[in-house]
Amino acid sequence: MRMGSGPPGGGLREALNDMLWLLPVPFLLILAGRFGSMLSDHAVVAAVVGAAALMTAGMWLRAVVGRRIFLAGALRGESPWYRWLRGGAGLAVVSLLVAIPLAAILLVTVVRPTGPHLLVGLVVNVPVLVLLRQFWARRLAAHAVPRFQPVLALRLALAVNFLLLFLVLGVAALFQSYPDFGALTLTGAMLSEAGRQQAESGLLLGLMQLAAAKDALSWWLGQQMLPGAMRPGLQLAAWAVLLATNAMVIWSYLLMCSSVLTLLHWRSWHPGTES
Amino acid sequence: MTTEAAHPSLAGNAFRALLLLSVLGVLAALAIDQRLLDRFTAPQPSYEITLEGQRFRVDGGTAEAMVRQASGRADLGSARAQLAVSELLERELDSVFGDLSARVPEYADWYFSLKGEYARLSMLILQRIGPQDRDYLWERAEALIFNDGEFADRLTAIENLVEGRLGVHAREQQTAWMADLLRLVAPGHEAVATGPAPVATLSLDDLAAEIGGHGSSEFLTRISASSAGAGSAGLAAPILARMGARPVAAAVAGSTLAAKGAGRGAARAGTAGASALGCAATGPAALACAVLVGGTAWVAADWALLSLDEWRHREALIADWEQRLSKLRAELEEVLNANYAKAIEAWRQGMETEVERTFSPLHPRTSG
Repeated sequence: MRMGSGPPGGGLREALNDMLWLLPVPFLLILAGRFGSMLSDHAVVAAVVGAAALMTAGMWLRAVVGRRIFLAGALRGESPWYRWLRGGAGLAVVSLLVAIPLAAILLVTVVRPTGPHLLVGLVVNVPVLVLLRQFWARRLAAHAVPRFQPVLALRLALAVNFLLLFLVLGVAALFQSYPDFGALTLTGAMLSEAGRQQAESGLLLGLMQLAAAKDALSWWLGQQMLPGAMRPGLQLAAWAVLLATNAMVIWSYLLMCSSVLTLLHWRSWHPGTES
Repeated sequence: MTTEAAHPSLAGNAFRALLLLSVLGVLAALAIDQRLLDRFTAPQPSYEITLEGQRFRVDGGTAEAMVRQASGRADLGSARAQLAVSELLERELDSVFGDLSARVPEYADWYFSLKGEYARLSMLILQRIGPQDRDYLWERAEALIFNDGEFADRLTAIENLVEGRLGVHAREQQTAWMADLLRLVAPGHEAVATGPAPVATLSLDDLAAEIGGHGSSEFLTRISASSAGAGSAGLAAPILARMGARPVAAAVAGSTLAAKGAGRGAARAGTAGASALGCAATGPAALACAVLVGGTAWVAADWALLSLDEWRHREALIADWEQRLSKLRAELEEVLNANYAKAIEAWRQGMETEVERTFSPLHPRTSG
């Protein structure tokens, strides 16, 4: 069913259904946050691969739509190149390869002890994403090619949602309290923060220690307030690392949510084989 | 779209919206405090129970059930003990006082006999003169009705019976409690070498001893010491003393008996005098005749008057003694019951205290 083709009230029903289907995503992340440190190596690998596979579904469909849009503008419909390049297993493998590190980053972030703002933000974001997609679906109804319109609406919704979530979590991060590394050397700060991590899985522990060291680096750089002690460029770079990591976490989560929506509406959102 | 079609849509949407808001609320709460998940997922703290060398591993719920079970056993056991003691006392006192009542007619026989009459008169005279200061009537009542020391012996025997009954009862309570305990801990709660370490080890040996009557309240020891010291007889003594302090003769007919005694004396003197007058014709033997005839007439008159007195007052005397014995029995039963109730209550409190102490690790007090 294409957007807008249902009965009156169908859009609201679809939005509510989408929101309900999306709720398991933050719930699983909350569970991972609480019990992830108890997982074994195998369970960690399974969790990362599972999350990556879920992300791949959405990423692959969006990649396919992007490829089709390009092909529609660049190639004739009867060209055999069109069939060869329209996107298949190759795009899926690429999507999976991108999804695996994103899934690992997301898992490590939620397992590491953080304040509640991140998880609360992820929970509250569920209706926001669906409402944004609905909004863009309506706005694009008169402009986009129908077979590409749902995924284009999803893309726009994801972009706007990413900015919103990034902004909200960035503001929340400003009000968080951080360890005081003012009296420590950079190495000491990184080792101290890495040493606080605990996990059953050696693999997960290593990833968590890497993430902790990265955070310690950012916090330590941010706390060097003495003039001349640190060049502003390095501080900016440190904050950029922190923000980039946050951006990857947010993007990973949005990819998971978009993948759930993609799987839910696969038949109606897939552009089909027509040229 | 028809109205009928719109209503289900509205209801469905409302349901979904409510469900969504509820789940969002729950997820937000879980996100804020992930420890909420521990209520459903964290392993329950376990406790190690030791009892007579056996070790069991139980969860908090089972340990709480043990607390309720032990407290219930303390209440039930003490209530049953009190009931058993009351029933035993009632039955045994029935037997003792039945025997006492059966001896009252024997006392009445003595009371209305010439022997009894003259013994009383003799003791009355001795009391007036001075060498005799005891209550002779009460002594005779003690000898004839209470069979000298037998009453005290039987009270001591009752106490021994009660002690034995309470000892058996305490053992039964202990056995029943342990059986209940095993039913609670046996299925799947045996001590295991693996698994998380127990939060605390609870030794139930002291509690078992307390329920069995040998704990810190020293229930059976107290009861036993009471028996060994002839406690019931000791408790009965002041009641008996109060009963003895009341003049026995006055109980029969009060002031009428005194009038009756005076009248009887005048009648005897008159009869003896009249009979002695008949000896005047016997000459030199008149004095001996007068003494013999007068004495015989005195005794005959006295016997006749005693018979008349017995005919008139025997039932009253017996009824008076029945009433006294009934009152004695009631007071004694009340005192004994109160005495045992006090000991049983101390036992119950001892059990409650032991339950609280034994299971105190279940409810650690928060400091500050």
